[in-house]
Amino acid sequence: MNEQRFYDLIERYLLGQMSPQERAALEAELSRNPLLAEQFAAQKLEHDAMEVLVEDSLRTRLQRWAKEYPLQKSKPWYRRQVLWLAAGLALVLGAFYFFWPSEDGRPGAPAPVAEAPAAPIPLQEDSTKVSPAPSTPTQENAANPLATLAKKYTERPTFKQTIVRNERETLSDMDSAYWALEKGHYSDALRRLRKIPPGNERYITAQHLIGEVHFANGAYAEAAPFLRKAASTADYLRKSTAEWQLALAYLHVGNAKSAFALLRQIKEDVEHPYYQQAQQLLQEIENNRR
Amino acid sequence: MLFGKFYTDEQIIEQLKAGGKGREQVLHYLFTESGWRNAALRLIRSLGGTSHEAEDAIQEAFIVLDSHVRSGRYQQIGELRSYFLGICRGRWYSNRRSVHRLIFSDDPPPLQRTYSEEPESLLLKSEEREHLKIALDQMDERCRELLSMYKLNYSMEEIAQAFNLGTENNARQRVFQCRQKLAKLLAQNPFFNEREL
Repeated sequence: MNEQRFYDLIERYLLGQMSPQERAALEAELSRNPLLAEQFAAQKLEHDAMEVLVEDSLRTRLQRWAKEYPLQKSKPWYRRQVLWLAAGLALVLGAFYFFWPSEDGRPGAPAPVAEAPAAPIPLQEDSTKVSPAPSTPTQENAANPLATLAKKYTERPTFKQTIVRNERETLSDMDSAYWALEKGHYSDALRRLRKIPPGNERYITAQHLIGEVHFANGAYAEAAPFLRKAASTADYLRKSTAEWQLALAYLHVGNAKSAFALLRQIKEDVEHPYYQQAQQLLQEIENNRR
Repeated sequence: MLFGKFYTDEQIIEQLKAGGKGREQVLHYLFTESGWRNAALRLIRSLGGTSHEAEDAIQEAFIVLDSHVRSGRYQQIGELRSYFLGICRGRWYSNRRSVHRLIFSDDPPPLQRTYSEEPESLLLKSEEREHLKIALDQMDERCRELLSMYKLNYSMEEIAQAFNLGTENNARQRVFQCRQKLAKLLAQNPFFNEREL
């Protein structure tokens, strides 16, 4: 190999443009050839310098973006308290207005616009009672306008978190479940996930995944109890995702009351990852009601 | 769990690695729209950090993430967002350590391993970085920008357009000249001269 070819090869290596095979071949050559190794070290130093330029340029850009898009700070606790107090007061006054008998003895006030069918649907709390197959048909009521809205915001969860490359590598039920999820073998995944007992450190993860499997298959009523468990965890990333999914699940099954409560709770928390979505969804619901 | 997400992890990694304008777009998306910053803010606050500390750690974490993905150091194990949050946590801890150097703390160690290096190696890197900056500061602004674009895999055509150089060949020539200048400046620096490369 001549000098120019060495130079070009090393450049391709340092710019990440080589295939793994080419990289391995060059690395082997570097260990054999001290002249090439010296050339490599010199070019690598230049690339290290260029990397500093890239980092500095990105740093400047991030600082500019941070000014343009400031982080939304949460409201101080007393402001939250005041908001809750105001909401509570409004609710009490609303109740008085609604139930106070009018002159003709009937409860006063014209009936408010129906929020949505608020009848809670029976939700299974016990994971063992969930049907084994995840292919439960959707429980969404076709006449439920909230479900139509929820559909717009519903994305199917993906299950690509596994580092397991094949079935033989799986060591635990959790690994096997991940593997099965990635392959789309939902029944198998559910069977494995249900085996993870409450005391296990992966229990909440497993419960969330069960909820997500049902959610992904449109079995929202079945998903709800599992998502509720996940939403009660201290792990805020899991908690916030589960809360949003749970709110959508409630909308799909027509449990408007619970859905609104949850969406409002998300909307109150400007740092919630689904803050914007909750705000938009509530706005759309409001618009539809008008 | 891809609610409200417009790029998959695979797409993000692909764009960052490919460099060029796609990388810029994906970084802008991650920083402004993905919700990662708010998640990191909440994480750092839950650990007892302030918003200001969080912003510093978040910006550093984006730089580290970009570098790890481009260099192939990120192995695509687990979600990219979790990896990013792990870096944020690590950055926040190390920033805090550097500020409160003499204060012993009972803070828990980071829960997930993202990247950690020995203090000696970090010190050496920081010293090396200083010397690299000394060399870079002696170059003209145009050369620095051009080399930065080259490192980010911008094509010669894009570089020619950005710098009004006419043809790809002119761009290639200009990159070569800037590289030669950089190599010379690095060779002149005793820090790099005295050590074995």
